[in-house]
Amino acid sequence: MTQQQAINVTGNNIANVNTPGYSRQRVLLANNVVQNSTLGVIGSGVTSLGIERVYDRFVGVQINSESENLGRWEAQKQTLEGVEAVFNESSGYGLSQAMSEFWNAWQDLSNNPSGDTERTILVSKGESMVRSFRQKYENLRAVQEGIDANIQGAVDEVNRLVSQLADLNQKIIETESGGHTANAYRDQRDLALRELSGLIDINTFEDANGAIKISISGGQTLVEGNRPRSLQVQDNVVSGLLDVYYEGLDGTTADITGSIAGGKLKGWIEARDTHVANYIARLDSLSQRIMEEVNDLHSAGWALDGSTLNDFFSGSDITDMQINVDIVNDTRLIAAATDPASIPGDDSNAIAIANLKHKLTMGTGPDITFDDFYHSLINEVGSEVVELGAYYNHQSDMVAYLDNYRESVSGVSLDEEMVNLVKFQSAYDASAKLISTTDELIQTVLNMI
Amino acid sequence: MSNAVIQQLRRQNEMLFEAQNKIASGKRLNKPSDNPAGMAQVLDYRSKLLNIEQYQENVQRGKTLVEANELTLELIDELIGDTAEIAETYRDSNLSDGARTIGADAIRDMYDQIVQLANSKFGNNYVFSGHQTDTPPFGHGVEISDSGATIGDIEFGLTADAADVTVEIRNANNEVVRTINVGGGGTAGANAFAWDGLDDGGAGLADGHYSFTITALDAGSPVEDYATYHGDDGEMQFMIGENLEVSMDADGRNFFTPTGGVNVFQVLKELVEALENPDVEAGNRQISAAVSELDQAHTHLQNKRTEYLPKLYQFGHSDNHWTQISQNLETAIADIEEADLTQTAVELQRLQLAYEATIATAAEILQPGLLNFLR
Repeated sequence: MTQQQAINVTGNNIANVNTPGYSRQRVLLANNVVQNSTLGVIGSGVTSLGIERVYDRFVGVQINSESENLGRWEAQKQTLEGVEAVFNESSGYGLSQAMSEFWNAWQDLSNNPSGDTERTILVSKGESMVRSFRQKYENLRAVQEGIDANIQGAVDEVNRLVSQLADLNQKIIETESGGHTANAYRDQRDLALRELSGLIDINTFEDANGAIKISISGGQTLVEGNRPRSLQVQDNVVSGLLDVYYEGLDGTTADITGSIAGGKLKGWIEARDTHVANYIARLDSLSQRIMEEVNDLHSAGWALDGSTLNDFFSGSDITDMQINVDIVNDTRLIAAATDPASIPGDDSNAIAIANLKHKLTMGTGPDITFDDFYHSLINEVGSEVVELGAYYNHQSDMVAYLDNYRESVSGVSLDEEMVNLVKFQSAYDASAKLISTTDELIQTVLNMI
Repeated sequence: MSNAVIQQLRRQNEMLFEAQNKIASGKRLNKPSDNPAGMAQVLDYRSKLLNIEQYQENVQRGKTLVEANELTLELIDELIGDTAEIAETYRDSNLSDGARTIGADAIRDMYDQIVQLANSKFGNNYVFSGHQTDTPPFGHGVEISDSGATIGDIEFGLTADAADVTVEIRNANNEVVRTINVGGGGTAGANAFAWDGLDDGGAGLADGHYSFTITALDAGSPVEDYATYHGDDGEMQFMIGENLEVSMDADGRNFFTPTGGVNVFQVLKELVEALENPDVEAGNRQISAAVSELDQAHTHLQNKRTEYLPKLYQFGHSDNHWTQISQNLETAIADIEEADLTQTAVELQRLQLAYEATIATAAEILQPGLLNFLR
């Protein structure tokens, strides 16, 4: 019987060779209770003490904690690779070129300050620069909104896993109170924990009754015994993006957006609120400075129709930046002259504006030009993608290593199982042989009667 | 183990794809993360290149203008020489009054031609009227603008005092719309007076440019009129570098009516008057005076023409300078951006080999198991 059980366990191991998270099991064999006889102590065979799973708890915890980091870097890497596409100007056309063409159009105007063609071209170059700014902004905003969709999905997933874990806790308590080890449920729970830790950072603690308590970095409890709590998302009134909230048993909610410290949720929140938000802020400050500098000079200059104090750009930031509608409708309002008496041949203001390209307008000081500022932004995006790629590769190596280690401990090796099978089969055969020999002996005795 | 193999294969696949991409695009810089600092550098160089292209365009434009102006001045200079020659011929050969009138007419025509040349345009802009590029620098014209609120003064020059001056103002179709008799006449030199901008019927004239003709008489004999300057002292500027502009004199007065020098238009009209002078002796004296003045004008124009030479050099130098720099920049961009095909191909070969080796060994390792031997 015991050998048969051992063969069953081996069969189960073989069947689960490809089941993710499955820990191989083995039968604990022990001597049966000995019998005292007149001849001395005689063994009474073998018995199974139970079926245990081969599992290294430390590796499990480590895998979980590395999975948190892996999830974090993976989410950031994926997001920033998307952002990188927004800033990819390697083919030439992009904001950098649009800005250069805009400044060049002012030079063109200086060559022919009263020229209608030059003025129309200047407006269209200005519009294409503005379009480029706005498009970049909208693309980055779309990245943030895409992240929000991911966050929403991750929160749903966390909630699903949390209730599954609470359910498994319940089953493990029930099974193990009967004295058995709930191997299958524990494997399932480990798998769910690992999935959960890929999404959010967790701390786990196993009770004496086998249930685990799961809490997150902010100290909030996600699962306790068989009671799951949940996360939810809410719109942030200021940014219009999603915040993550924890909902306690009593229905109170707490904003945990800032306290999440690992997993994909952390990665997404970090990418959205740190990286992408930073890029948007930098683009915005660039667009604002350009508008300010050009408007300052432009409104001090004189237009072809003798008017002054006209702004070239309207709007206050990257979201509503555009060329002054009056100028679009009447290009004569472009102020190329600095002296009202010198219209239309005076090009001094156009020259001054064209020279803004080289003026140190950005940074503290200010100490860098518009071009420098934008190019350093691209440099930063590229560097961050490289950096995150390295983190991600390192982290996935780490997790792969731990996975391999876990596999070597808990994984099913077909070779080992085959050896076991042969071993148990032989033992079974031998036992059967023993029984038939005993049977023959008894038969012989019976025949003597 | 199978997981490890899969992960290795995936990574090798990525690297193969990157190498292949490099070869396909011929560039090793396909996205910012390929070389962040290099990308910033390339964008910076590209921006500089675009800027240089524009500077070179400006330089080209400046050069063309200088050459066009040079040609204009040369023609005017030749015409001035011709008029002096004609006048001298008449002075030295005691021709009759009738023949002299023909000479006077010829010089009048040449005067018109010179005015026309002085009113040359480059593109749509008058080149000798300072910043007033939409106003012909020399000639008889007035502007009415701002719906009749701004009316230009009538300005003209006279070779002598004239008691009786009549102005005929003409519209774009050359029809006389207004005739004004200037009370008090005019004096020798520049004259200017304001008018009301109305037509003969007393109605306001539409905004626009109006030309006028002057008929001046003094004691019954005609007095010649000549064009005055309508521009300002603005200069033309061409951006040829960062905060670096080449300025060119565009003030027509500096060319044709310099302060302390000879007013070409006035002298030409004086010459006409001299040839028409019934007193031949006095006329000849006038011709001699005018011819010597024209000689001065000729010298002055020569001087102005030589002023263009350094500008041409400046344009030429900056053109060469920018061409040189843009070549350097292009080389620098290529250095950062372009993939070394041989090197990449070798790299691809190496990666391919590694990939194939991984597949082969994986197949070897993964296949045999005890199961195979138990059968």
